[in-house]
Amino acid sequence: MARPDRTGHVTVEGASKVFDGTAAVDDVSLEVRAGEFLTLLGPSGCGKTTLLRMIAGFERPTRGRVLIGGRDVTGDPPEFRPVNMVFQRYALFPHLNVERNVAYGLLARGEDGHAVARKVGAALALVDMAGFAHGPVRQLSGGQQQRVALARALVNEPEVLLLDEPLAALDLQLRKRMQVELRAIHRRLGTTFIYVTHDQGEALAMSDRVAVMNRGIVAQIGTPEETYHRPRSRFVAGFVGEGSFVPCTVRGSVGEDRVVALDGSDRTIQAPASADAPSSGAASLLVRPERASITGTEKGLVVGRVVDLMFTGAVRRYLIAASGTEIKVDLADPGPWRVDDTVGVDWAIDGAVVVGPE
Amino acid sequence: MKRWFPPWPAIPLAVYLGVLLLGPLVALAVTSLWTADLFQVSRDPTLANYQLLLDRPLYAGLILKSLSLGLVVALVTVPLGFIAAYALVFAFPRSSGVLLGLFMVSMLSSYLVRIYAWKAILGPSGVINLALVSLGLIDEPLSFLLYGNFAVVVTLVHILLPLALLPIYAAMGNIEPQVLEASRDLGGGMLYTLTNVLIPLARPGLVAAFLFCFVLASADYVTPQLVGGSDGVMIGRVIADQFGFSGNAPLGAALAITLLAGFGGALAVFALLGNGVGRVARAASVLTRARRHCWRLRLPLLRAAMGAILVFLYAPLVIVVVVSFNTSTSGILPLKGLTFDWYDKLLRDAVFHEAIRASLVVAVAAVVGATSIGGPAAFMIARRRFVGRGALLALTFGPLVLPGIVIGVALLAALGSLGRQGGLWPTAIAHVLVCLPFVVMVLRARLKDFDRQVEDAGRDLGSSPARVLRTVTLPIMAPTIIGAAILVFGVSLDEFVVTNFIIGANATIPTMIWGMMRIGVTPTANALAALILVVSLVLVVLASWVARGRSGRALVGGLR
Repeated sequence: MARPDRTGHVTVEGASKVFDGTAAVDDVSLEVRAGEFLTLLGPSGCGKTTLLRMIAGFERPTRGRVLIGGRDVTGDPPEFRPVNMVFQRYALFPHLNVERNVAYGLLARGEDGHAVARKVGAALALVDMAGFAHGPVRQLSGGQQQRVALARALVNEPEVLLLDEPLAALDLQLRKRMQVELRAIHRRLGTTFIYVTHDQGEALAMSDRVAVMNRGIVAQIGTPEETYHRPRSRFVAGFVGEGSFVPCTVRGSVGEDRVVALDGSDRTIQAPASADAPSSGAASLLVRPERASITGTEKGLVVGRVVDLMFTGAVRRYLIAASGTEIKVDLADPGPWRVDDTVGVDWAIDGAVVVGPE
Repeated sequence: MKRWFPPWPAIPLAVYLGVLLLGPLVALAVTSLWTADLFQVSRDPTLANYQLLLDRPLYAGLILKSLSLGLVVALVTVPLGFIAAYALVFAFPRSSGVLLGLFMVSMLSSYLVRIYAWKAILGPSGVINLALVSLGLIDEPLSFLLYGNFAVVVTLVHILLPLALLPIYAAMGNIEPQVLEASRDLGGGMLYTLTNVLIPLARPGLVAAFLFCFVLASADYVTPQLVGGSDGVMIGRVIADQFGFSGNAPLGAALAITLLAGFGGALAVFALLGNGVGRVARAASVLTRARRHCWRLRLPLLRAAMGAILVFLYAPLVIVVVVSFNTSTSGILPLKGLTFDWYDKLLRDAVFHEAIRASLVVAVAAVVGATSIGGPAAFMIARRRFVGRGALLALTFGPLVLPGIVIGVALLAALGSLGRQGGLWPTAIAHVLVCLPFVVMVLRARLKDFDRQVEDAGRDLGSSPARVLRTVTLPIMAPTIIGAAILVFGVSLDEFVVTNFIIGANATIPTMIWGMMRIGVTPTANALAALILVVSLVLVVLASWVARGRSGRALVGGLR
């Protein structure tokens, strides 16, 4: 029943995968739109790789279904699925040269020699590796192997490209460059990308949408901005981006917002709330460092002592002990404050989110 | 930076192999130029023996027949080893330690006993015939089961399968499982992945396994003699006879040299054919990609195959143990009653006591000699680069790859040209030679993943190099060294093929069994066989316990 308009569309319906009695993936449902760049983000062991491998066909779901392009592929082995994967450690064939690695999928499909040569050439050009076609893969650098692995998957024109932490083994500079290139390739081809990473910075920078996973379930799915600014749980708030959790007590609700009092202070603040924020009692207030600022002691929402300050290049980071925690504040313009100064900390009215208690 | 001269700890190994492996081979070649007439040897060099081999097609035919038998055995054994290795590495990795241990036990359980066990299964009053008769399917025992090429092939496959498994297992252990997944992800079906990824990557191991099986099966002289019957005469047996009662050592030497040349020629042909076959298989595999169910049936099929292989390896051994308690004096089935009499009789036999003593003397000498010569050399081979390192390593593998009969007759020829007789000490020296590859392999494998930073830490904390060796390196290596020593002990206790030529008037346990088995199947031989199995089992368990389960893997690692 393949409907052409569903090409590149992936649906996961109530999928679970149980290993030795523990659910690595627990009743996950997910819609990936055609042409989308979706990232599965989470700490190690959260089930993101298992979910990706279920889509690829390497793990059979214990329960649930996987549909690709509108077709139920749950029982299909990997070689029958219209997806291709870029493996974590590239998994290039060590006995084949660059060109034959890239040609592998086309030859397995039995495509004729002229078409293979043309497509391999184009794929290697796409990833900027045309000059290496006849070289052995063993002598390539990590970044070059990465490009070959990408070309080897893309040359088959899959409906969906699966990427399993493809940049994890690269050094920081190269990783940044590959992020930009991957996005450019995604824009150019319009193929659906499903990308697995534990690096939240990478997820935010690259994705159209991010699915944050924890303990086998999808904790939140949304645009990078949504997951960053409006986390649905304390876990998401802590895992995506940096922030400080200021202990507080919920005093009441105004619509979706909560009114909270900071511990050791009488002042109340109104802020949007995550799904796991309690309607009364102990909670935490998430404050992002770039939304916070340092003021005089009388103007701040809280008062604290400067514990440390670090130069990080773009900004100067202050650590301020206040309200029983350490609040991170990033300032682009360094202020006059030094360690042990007593200062006030303030943040924008919409710059905080009430989340569940610790 | 390469050193032009081998570091001194490697020199004893180089000298030992040079003098005791290459020397005897030269002596063998020289002997083949002599002539013998009624036990009188003339030392005038002549090519008369080779002329004789050319004149009598019987010999050439026999060599060809032996090589084809070896080819058949290799063609059966290598795929079985491949299946078993695949199951161990990729299908059941969690049980691979135990499964590998089972193969090791089988490998170290007595060579002679295993041949003998097949006699008990395929023989006229063996298990299969008895079953067929009792089911009324046949009236008379079928004699073709025993005493023929079929029995020889079955027995040799049984003996060589563990040896074939090891190098294939080692080669597959180096393959990243993700690479196989990548092949499937790119649309490669089972056969396509097999021919295009798995076999090319496992090739070094497959080639080594094929080499082992082909050479050792072609040159085996014990199996054809015991279960081959009249049409089972192989070149190995003829060579052995020339050095034995036929009393024409020069002709035997010429045959041995010709056999080695035959191996060279055959392997060259196989190398050429192998590439062509690979190309055709890869081309054909594209056509088969639509077999959707292959992968799904993979695990049940592999489980069944592993079960069948283990039954094949262990059933003969179990039968020997069972019949050793049989009251029947025929020594084989049927079971009539249970008794310990045969053990009692054996344990009170003075000849047996003497054989135990001889075996222990030789085994202890082999352990001391092989570890003290091979150990330091293994360190140098693993850690230093020097001119001739590759050659030394290749030479170390010599005693493993050369058929035992060639080593045996070469040593005998060397003893002969020195005017010496065989005996316990020549046997001990030969056992050191045979055991050296095992010591070097096992230690080298462990040294490869030895974290040398702990040695640097020792130096940094103020120890001299000698003190670091004593307080850091050796304690870390101790389990591996002890494991290797136990392995060598087991190999030496079981060594027969070489020992048989140079033991002289003495007898070790295996040569004593040989004496018993030539007379016929006797109940005491069953009891002895069962005892040997128990000892082998204890040794393997001990070795893997000392080396914390690593001895099997370590041995395998050394083959990489």
